[in-house]
Amino acid sequence: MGGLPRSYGQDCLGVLVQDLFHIYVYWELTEETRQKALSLRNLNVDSPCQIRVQQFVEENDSMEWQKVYQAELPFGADHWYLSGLVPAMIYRIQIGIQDGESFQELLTSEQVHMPPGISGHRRSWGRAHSIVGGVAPIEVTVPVEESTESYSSSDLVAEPAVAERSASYFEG
Amino acid sequence: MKVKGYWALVLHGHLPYVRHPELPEYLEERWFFEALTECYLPFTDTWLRLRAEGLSYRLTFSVSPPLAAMLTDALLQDRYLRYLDKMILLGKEEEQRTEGDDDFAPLAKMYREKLERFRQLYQDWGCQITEAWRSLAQSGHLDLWTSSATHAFLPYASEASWRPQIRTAVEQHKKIFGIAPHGIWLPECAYQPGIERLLSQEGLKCFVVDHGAFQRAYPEEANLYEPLHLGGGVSAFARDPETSRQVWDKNSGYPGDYDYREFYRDIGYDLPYDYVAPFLAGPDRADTGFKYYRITGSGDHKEPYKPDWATSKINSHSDNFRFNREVQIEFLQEQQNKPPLVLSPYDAELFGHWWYEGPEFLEALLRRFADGQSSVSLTTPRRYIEEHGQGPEGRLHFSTWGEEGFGKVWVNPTNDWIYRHLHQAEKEMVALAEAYPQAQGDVKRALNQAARELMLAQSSDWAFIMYTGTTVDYATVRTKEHLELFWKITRSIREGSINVIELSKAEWKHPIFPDLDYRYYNRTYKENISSHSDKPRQVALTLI
Repeated sequence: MGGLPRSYGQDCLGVLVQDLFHIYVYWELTEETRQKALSLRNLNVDSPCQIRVQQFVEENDSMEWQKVYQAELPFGADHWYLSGLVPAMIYRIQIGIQDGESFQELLTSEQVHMPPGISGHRRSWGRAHSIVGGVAPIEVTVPVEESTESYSSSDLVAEPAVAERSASYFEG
Repeated sequence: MKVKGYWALVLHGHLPYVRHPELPEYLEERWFFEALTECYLPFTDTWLRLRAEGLSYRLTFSVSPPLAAMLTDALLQDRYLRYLDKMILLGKEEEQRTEGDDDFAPLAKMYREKLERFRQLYQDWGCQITEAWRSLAQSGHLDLWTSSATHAFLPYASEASWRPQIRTAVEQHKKIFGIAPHGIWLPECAYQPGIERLLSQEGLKCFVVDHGAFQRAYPEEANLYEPLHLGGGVSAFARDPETSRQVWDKNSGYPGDYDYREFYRDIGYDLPYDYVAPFLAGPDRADTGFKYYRITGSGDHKEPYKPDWATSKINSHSDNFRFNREVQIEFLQEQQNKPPLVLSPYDAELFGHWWYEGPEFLEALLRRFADGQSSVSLTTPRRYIEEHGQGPEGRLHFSTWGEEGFGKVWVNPTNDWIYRHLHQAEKEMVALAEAYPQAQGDVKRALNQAARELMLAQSSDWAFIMYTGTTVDYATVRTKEHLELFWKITRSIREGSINVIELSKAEWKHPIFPDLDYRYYNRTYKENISSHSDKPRQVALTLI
């Protein structure tokens, strides 16, 4: 066995709610994405990444995300446990770079719902996890399917549509 | 006697999929063999006997798909017979060794006789004990449920994994038991909003959650003693905390009674190594099942086990259990319009393995509640729904039956590393399933095997073992092995160079779910069946 990779070379962010007050976050931020963001803002290549936690707030008919926590990440950090969150609240997690007053988010989770401590909280019905990024679709030619017919003659007889399709792949 | 309410016993039978054809014996396969001897066969023996007596009992038995797969696996069936033969031989040697010993000789004889009886029972059913359960379901004594395909902890899996996990489980259940399951045991009782939609689509109508989930329900705290309808014809049932404590609590629970058998004194550790070595599965000392002492007290000193004393305690504990249910139901029925339902879900392996007298205790309970002399009658979630409806409408939040009711057992610093790998693999599986909507031949084989490897890596058992610190190396190796095989196979698909020998080896080693259909990972599966799949498609390319 060759072992699992330390990274997959793709930007991603996963959030799992552990309990009423704690969240586990993992991420992969590729060097390409980080360098691109730094370059766009003319920031030093050593600028550290930050983790930011935002809480969804509804006040007087307005709804917005408010920062409740932000911390500088040690170099190489790829996961984090967040504590002190509030039951029944909705959060999202971001990994980004602080540029003066501005926070440049590079990875953002979907909203994550903390379970409530007591009954009656309608808005925390949602997911206790968020998994974004990772495998990114690109258009490629499917190279394999056409070669399969030589192993599936019975299928080809039983399913003419497949045979026609496979044949067209060969021709292509 | 007039029935005032119901008690529903729900047993969840599950073991991780452990099968090692690469070696003639494998230590961890003994989990399965021991559970068969100590739990599943004693249950079956009891249930068949009670049915033959004409007792009108009923209970729910959830058989997890990995367990069902192992029970119907010819290799493991053969190995189990060899294991039984070995243990019967040990029993005979123990009878000789303890001859003349008034304390131990009767115990050695008891163990040997039990082993022989269960061997006979096993063979009477053609080594397919699932056939006995199927028969008991057909006669109305058992309601059989399934679980997710590989006991994946669904709230921490991406949603694209929910349908393959659930549909594969339902399909396997129908194939083995000949009938669609009415309910499902959500692994670790782990619920996340949205799961009920998938259950509804797969025809599953009920599941169990921890009582805390009902206490945090919306729009208001739900009644623990009736189901809660979540929509789509799917209802949740809450675990009753009182009956959980009576059995599970390590201090006040019944299994801790001093007259019950002591689990931690086994001749595998107590007798000279050379004597027990031929009966062990590996080079290290391990349990043999021959245990001669009772709990006795909280200290290390242990007295010989007295089966008669234990049986006496079974009777008093089951009387106490019934009394408490009658009092509980008497109180509850004054609080609600419908007859209250007290639901007690337990891990099946608690009874017989950890609590040796557990199967006897359950038999005593079935007798007490089914004899027509109690104000509390036996039922199952299915029957309760049929007779009293699906319960009031409500919603639930994320919950489990683990510590504090949430997920800290399955995500913590001992096991959190698995999730980035699992989630990446889940996405890759979806991407490939959508790229190859109608694969044939070796591509289809490879995609199906990739799905098997992913599902096996998702088993909640590995994270649990890492957390409890028991066989961590094994759990780690299994997680990595399945993921590495997954990537090896999926890479070969992308590269158009499927190594049929390597693929065959993976299929040989991990043959769970022979009918698995990778297309369940395709989010538009039904639509794609008739689509023009020869057009260019979006394929996710993963670089490692």
